[in-house]
Amino acid sequence: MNEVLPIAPEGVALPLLKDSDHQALVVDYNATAARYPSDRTIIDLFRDQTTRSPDAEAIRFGDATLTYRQLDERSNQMAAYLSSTGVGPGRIAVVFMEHSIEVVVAILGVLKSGAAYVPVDAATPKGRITTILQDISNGTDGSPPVAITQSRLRSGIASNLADIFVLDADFDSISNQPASARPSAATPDGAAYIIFTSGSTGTPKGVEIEHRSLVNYIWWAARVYSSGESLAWPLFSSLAFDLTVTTLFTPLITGGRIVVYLGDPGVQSMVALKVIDDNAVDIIKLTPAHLAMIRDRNLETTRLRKFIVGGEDFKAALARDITNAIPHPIEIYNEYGPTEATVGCMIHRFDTDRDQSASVPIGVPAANAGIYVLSKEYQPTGPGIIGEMFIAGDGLARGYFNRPDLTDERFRTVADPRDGRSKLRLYKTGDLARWNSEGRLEFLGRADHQVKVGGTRIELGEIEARLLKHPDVHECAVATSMTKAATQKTAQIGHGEPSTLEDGIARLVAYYVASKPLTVADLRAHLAEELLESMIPTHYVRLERMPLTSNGKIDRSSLPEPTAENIQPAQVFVAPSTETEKTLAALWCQLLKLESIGRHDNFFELGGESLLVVRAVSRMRKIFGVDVQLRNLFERPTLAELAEVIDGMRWVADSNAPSLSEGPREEVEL
Amino acid sequence: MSASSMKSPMSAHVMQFSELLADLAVKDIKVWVDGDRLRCNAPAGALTAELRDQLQGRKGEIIAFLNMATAAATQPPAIIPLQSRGTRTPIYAVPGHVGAPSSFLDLSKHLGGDQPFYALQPPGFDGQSEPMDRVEDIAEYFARQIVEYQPTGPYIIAGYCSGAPTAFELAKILGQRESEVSCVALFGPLHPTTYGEWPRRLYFIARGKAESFLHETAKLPTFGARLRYFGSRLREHVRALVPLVGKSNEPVATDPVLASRALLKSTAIAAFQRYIPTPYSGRVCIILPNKAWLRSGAAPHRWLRVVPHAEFYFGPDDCNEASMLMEPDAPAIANLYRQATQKLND
Repeated sequence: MNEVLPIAPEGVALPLLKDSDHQALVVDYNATAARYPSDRTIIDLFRDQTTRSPDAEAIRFGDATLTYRQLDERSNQMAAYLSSTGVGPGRIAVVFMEHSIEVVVAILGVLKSGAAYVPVDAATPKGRITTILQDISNGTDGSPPVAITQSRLRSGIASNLADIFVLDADFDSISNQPASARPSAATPDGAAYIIFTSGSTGTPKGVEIEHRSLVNYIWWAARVYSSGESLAWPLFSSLAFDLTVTTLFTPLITGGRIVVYLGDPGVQSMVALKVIDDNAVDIIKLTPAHLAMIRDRNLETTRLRKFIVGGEDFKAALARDITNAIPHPIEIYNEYGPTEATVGCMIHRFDTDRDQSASVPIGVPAANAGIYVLSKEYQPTGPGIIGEMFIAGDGLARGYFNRPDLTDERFRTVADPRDGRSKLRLYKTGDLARWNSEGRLEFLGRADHQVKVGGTRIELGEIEARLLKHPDVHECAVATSMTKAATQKTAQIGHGEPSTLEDGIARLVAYYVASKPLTVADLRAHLAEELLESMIPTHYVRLERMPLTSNGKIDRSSLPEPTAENIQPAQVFVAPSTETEKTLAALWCQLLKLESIGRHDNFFELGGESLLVVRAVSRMRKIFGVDVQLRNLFERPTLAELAEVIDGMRWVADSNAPSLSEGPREEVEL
Repeated sequence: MSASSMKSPMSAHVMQFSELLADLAVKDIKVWVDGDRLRCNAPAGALTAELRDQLQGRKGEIIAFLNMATAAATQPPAIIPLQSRGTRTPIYAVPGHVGAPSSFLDLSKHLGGDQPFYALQPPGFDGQSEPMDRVEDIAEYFARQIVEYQPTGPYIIAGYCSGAPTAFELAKILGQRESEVSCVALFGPLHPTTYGEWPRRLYFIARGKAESFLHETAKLPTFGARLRYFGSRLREHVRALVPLVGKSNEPVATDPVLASRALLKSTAIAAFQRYIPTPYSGRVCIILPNKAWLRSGAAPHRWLRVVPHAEFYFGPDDCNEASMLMEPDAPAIANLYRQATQKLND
């Protein structure tokens, strides 16, 4: 469960939000009301465009093209066929197809029939498709959904779980349908699509978006991104990723063109490069990771003029590199928004001169959206205080399909933060943010990236945000790594110290992609400027590139385990040299479950805590025969320092012992 | 896993010094510091001119090394410097009954680099000495070592949880010896009657567990989620009870560290239970995790019987006593401490 631990606790230490801040950060910031055709559906808007430019090219895939009129007619036929099979309002049609002209026809046909479409990526494993189909079936009184697919993908769907329609094989049954327009059965309150996203429990959850929310978003996107122009947009990202919704519908209501790209098998993530090399589009929407991939392409002759970046934290250095690589003026937008708030609800246009912070700001709310940073008591937080982001407005999803418990958990109706009296429906994003002193919102990553290391609750996003401010770090992810078994801490009332299972020692690991080699000392010093010592990662792993999910986001589950080979040395490694250091290093390695320890490694920074300290001291006494105290370890916590203490103690003890040799002795002052 | 992997040669300096010491040991040459002088006792003829030159040339280095070693070997073992620098009145802090000095680490960090902070390690904590079963004896043990380490005040004496009575007694002992104790700061203190009176003890423990449970369930959004959490807690308790009621033929491995920790804990609780506080006229600041702690069974108000002038400070509502000195509550508690002691440092 993604419940947020108390980030912004009540208490004496917290400043209250001043009236002037409340007005600026809560009220004025969210004054976003804007007119849009809330009584119409996305289909109505598409038909309006078809009327305006029937012969304009609407979609292209290789040499194949369809005009607006043709696309409208094909989708009419599709809708007529679906209606004849009982598909209509309240029904759900799964679209399990590769990128093609047909997939757009299918989606428009489903929408015209009044049903909602569920996009499923062509690379989705069969098990996940089964889960989604069963979920839909369970949520619609046991009736199997319609699944529209292609011959090549047909085997991915179990026959008993869906009424399968193979579009390319059964095309005759569509082409025989009337191409003329019939009134669309879609309504503004009806569901337009359901996108299944990964759940924290591992079970996908379907986010249900209504036409009105979709129209609100696309109407706004058309105004901001197309600005009255008819642009060519590449359809290359996964249809199951809501980032693609922008590319699918914005061109179709603005007279633009969809250019379809199909990734090569096995290298799907490289399709972004195909888009660049083809040089047939004016605007592109993609993730920062995809943008980073195209940074090294020759962009001098690109016709791209607009970039919309979303899905993850967007580094300003990357935006600057892209700006510099393209000779003509370009627009770069950072769009923030979870699927639950219909694609995007915040926007910032990158400005090379003005945006000097490490990350491109996530900006200001989109039309008819509200953004609030709240404490766990749903109170607006003041500047500098980390809170959770909540979203309000017309973009909010209906909820999670067939998951009323989860919907209640994440969509909450609370006192409106603006006036504290009226009620407002909010989506609890699970994302952390804070207002900086300049009144800008800083995005700090996921709240469920909060971990407990050494008894301290740590926001991984806060560490990542700071690490990304390093001028040479392009991408990063911070994770925890456990040695052997899991560490478990249970603090109990009346006990001064939590109990600890020592077999598992949790350590923070920072993974990063950098333009040049960086030392751990440099990274640590950079982090230490803003972070507590407990938040400084123990290990650093430099990667060539971050592992990505099919959606182009950092795939945390694929980050490599930190090993002796990939961990960067904490500092220039100085091997234990004296006998005492070697013996002590062996002891620490055993206690801390490490393979090697250098002279300058610090016992506590390596995970030494609680009972381990006592064990270490006890063992050192036995091994070295001197009375090492806990105090010595706290005072001189590095291997070399403590070894020097031990050597000194032994020397003092030997000096006080009677001489071993016989014969005359001499005493001198030196 | 490796702490570091790029290996480079060690500095020549340490090798040479280490070799020098080894060489002296082999030759049975003893070197010690006498005031600011370095003296040497060696078998006749062992101290060659070359060796003598080498020792004289590195006299400063050797004196520093021997002084460090002597200090390390002779300083009071109970004084654990968590932060030894700073100009403010040093804090000497008694941990809870498990005695872990590290329980003050986060608080010490948040009090900043100008606040000297010493945790007090109770006898028996390191398994080397026997734990003491009277608060007065533990306090006397600490008092001797504090005065040895810092002969004159002022001091600030702090205590956490069940370490509070020891801190209280320690302040009294120091005061009786005319050492200046600026303030006694008690963090989430348990009054001895908390464990001395069985109904109160049961109430305290039950309330603590219930609060912990409610604290966790409050974060869960649905009844179902709460029910699942309740089930998981119940299973944990049952699992914990199984080894107690079940018979096992497996020999129980005795971990000496855990055994000594258990002995320390039981002895400390016994000492805590039998302690009876007596009046104290110095300044006492009682810093509670939150206002609800007044009704926790820890009986903080009973301190007013012996310190009617005690000042109370309260942390945030969701602050938990068991973690009040740790992140993320440590900053708020450090802030309370600063407020409480501001007059002293102004």
